[in-house]
Amino acid sequence: MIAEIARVTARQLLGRRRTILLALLAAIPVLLAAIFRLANPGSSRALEGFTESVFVALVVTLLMPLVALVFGTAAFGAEIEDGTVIYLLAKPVPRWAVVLAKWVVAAVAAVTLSAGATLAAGLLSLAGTPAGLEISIGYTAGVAAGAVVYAAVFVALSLVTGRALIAGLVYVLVWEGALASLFEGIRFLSIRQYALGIADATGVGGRITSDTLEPATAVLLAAVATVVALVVAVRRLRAFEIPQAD
Amino acid sequence: MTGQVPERTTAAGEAARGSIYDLGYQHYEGHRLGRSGAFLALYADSLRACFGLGRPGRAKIVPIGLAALALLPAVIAVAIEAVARGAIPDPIRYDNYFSTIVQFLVLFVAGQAPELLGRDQRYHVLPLYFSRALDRLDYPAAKLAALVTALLIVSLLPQAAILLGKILGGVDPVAAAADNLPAVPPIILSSLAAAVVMAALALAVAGFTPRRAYATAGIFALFYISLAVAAVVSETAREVASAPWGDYAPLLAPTATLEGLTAWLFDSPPSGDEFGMFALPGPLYLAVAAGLAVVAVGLLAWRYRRIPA
Amino acid sequence: MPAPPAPAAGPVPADAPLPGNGAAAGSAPGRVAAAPAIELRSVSRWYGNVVAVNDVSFGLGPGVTGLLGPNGAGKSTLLHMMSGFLRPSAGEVLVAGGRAWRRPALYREVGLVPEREAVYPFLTGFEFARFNARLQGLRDADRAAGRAMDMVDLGEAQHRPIGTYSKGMRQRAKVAGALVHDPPILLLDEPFNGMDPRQRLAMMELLRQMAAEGRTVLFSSHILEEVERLAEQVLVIVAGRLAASGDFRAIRKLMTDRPHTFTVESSDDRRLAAALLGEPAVFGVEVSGGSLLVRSADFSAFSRAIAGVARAADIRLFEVLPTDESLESVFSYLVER
Repeated sequence: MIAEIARVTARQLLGRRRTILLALLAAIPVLLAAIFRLANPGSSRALEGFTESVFVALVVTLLMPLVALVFGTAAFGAEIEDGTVIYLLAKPVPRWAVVLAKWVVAAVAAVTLSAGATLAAGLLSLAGTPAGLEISIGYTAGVAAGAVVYAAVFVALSLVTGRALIAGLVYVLVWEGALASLFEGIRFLSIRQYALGIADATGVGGRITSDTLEPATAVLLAAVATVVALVVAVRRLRAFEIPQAD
Repeated sequence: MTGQVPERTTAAGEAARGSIYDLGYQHYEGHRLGRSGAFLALYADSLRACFGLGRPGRAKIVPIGLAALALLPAVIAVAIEAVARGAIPDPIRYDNYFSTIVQFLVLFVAGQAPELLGRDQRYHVLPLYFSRALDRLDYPAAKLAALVTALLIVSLLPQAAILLGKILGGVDPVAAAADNLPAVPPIILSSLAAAVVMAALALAVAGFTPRRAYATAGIFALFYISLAVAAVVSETAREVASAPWGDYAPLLAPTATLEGLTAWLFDSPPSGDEFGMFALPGPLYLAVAAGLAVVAVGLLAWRYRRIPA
Repeated sequence: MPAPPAPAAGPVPADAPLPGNGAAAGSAPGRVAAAPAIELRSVSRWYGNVVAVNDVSFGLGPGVTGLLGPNGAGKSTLLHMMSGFLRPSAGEVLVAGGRAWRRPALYREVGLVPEREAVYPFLTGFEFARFNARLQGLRDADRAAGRAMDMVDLGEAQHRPIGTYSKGMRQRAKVAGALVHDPPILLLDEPFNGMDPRQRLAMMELLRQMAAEGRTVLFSSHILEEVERLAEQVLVIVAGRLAASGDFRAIRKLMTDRPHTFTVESSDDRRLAAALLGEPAVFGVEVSGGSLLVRSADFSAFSRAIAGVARAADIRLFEVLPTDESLESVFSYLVER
């Protein structure tokens, strides 16, 4: 049954103009990596600078959350808003199964695009450089983990509020962006930091950004965030009431 | 008006009569404003919508909040000058004011452009607009004019405040006015250029989807991701010592292009030039900015010519 | 005229004979004593200050029941509560032996045809039915889907995407999806929306057949003709309250403060009119065209009296027709009370 829901969700999610746009967006880091490759600056400072601005500032900060946001909020998407989720819920299927199916599809789509782009960009730009492979793999893992957590959070968000996309944008840009630079403690509640911490643990090893979360902390908090988000989603779905039509 | 109603016969063969009573409905026989009237009405209504006027309070928070945030640095600067009286020279200048508030302008336009175009698409009311005295392209033109006006208000108000502060705060208002007068044309021109380019780009994105949230995300992506890309390209080129093409990096990002244009109009390099970007001849920025505006307006026009209605 | 005070207004008490409970369908005599398939006990639902459903109680069994009411009366609210998608603010909604709210197992026994139109436009009709079948856990989903498609007469179009269907075809696809697991209870919200007359007749026939097989079918409508033609029992909802329930002809007879009108055609209308005015059951006679319009306060008394009156006056009766037995007159009476 989960497979069936996942199949239909996948068709709903992917066969659209927005997937093409997101794929184009995901191609940008790969393109930049190609340009970097061709320019071939050689200095390690250049490499660091490039890695930092592409992988951290572009992909982890902007691209990956955006991709996960669009897929995560579209998993349930308009179904909740216009009440057609009824067709899915008027079945003897446990609600956690529905949430799981939607989340898996959104997460797989987000991971494929963002981690795929990261890996391609990494291999293209860093191949042959010392520790280049580790850094590529590290960021790929971090981005993949981040996409998975973001997807869960945004799926839950789409069940909690009708303005999930805007709320998600505010979260990513304001909470994880502006506020996190002002208040230290927010780092522990920021999925971006989990992703960076996991990237460090898996290969980047603190070479690019310092002051990231400890590996254990990052993994633990990421897992907790995912589980909490999914639980919230299931509870909201169980208590789903048809919105008053007018 | 009582009218003549044809007699009708019932099945039983009897004739029946009916009449229509005058309820006082009247035709409008007065002057009709025509296309320009319709255009101005749509423009005024859209301009109000840019600031959330005529909608519940929630809709006003974002635009008016952002306008306030854009005004804040100017007010603070004027206050500082008034109090410190020259002890802190030039806390904020015109020529880099744009870089100070550009983020707020992006947010403004990302929030309001979808508001202008999204609802009408979503609820399929475009046929109502197109069956009026408006031409097809009058509709996006009016929306564009309104958003440009709104952006002008948001960006000119603080600069006017600074100007006023400098004139009135000084010892000799008249001399101060004469000193600051040459700054007025660049202020107006740079704000106008920024307003046109940003409004056109935002509306071009918003015109393609009835879902406002997607349009907002798209506009964000357009402005922020292009900036990140420009930064990367510029840095990469800088590391490759003899790479002239890195200088062209700012042209990849609308906001950076506009900053370059502003710097050229004011004839002074902006402070905080972290990318060392503004090494290109000024007219090039102007050309690219104009090009962006033309492409964006073209896309908008193409979309609204072809939109099903 | 003394008339027995009839409980025509207000909710039917829970222990009163329940409409449709085994008596109407007549196909399953052994089920008279079974618990009602759908039971509401003092159910209310409010949104802030607005009361959408106000203290409604009834029970339903096999057969077709029509939920009738003007727009905004609370029909959809009731249906949503019965289908487990709205929590009652007060009271209990029991469907298929348990509460409706938060019980996914309910949907094995219930087929729901909601009002919302949009439904996975990229799936073909067959795929949609099969999707439903698979989620219901049916082992041979393909066969069940094919059968459901044939039942609603979409066999030809079943391999086209639903997005290409007309409104009536989409309705039928939704019904197929609800029937695919052969549920004993069917809830339909305005099912005839958008159907042309031929499709409507076919759907009515299908629902009658479902009911004849012992299913409980409940459909909502604000169109009197539909309900009159299809429903064996009606539930009339006005402004959130249950105004009446049961067979509408029986309800009509209970409306004693409104006179019944009859159309009578005879061999000598005027003389008959004069004779009828002498009857205590009659309090108004109108001569119009080729027939008499007789107003009587007591349906059964008049029915008994007219034959005798005519014979005494040596007048032949050609036609005696109660003229306001329609659901419409019942309905407008209930709405205006």
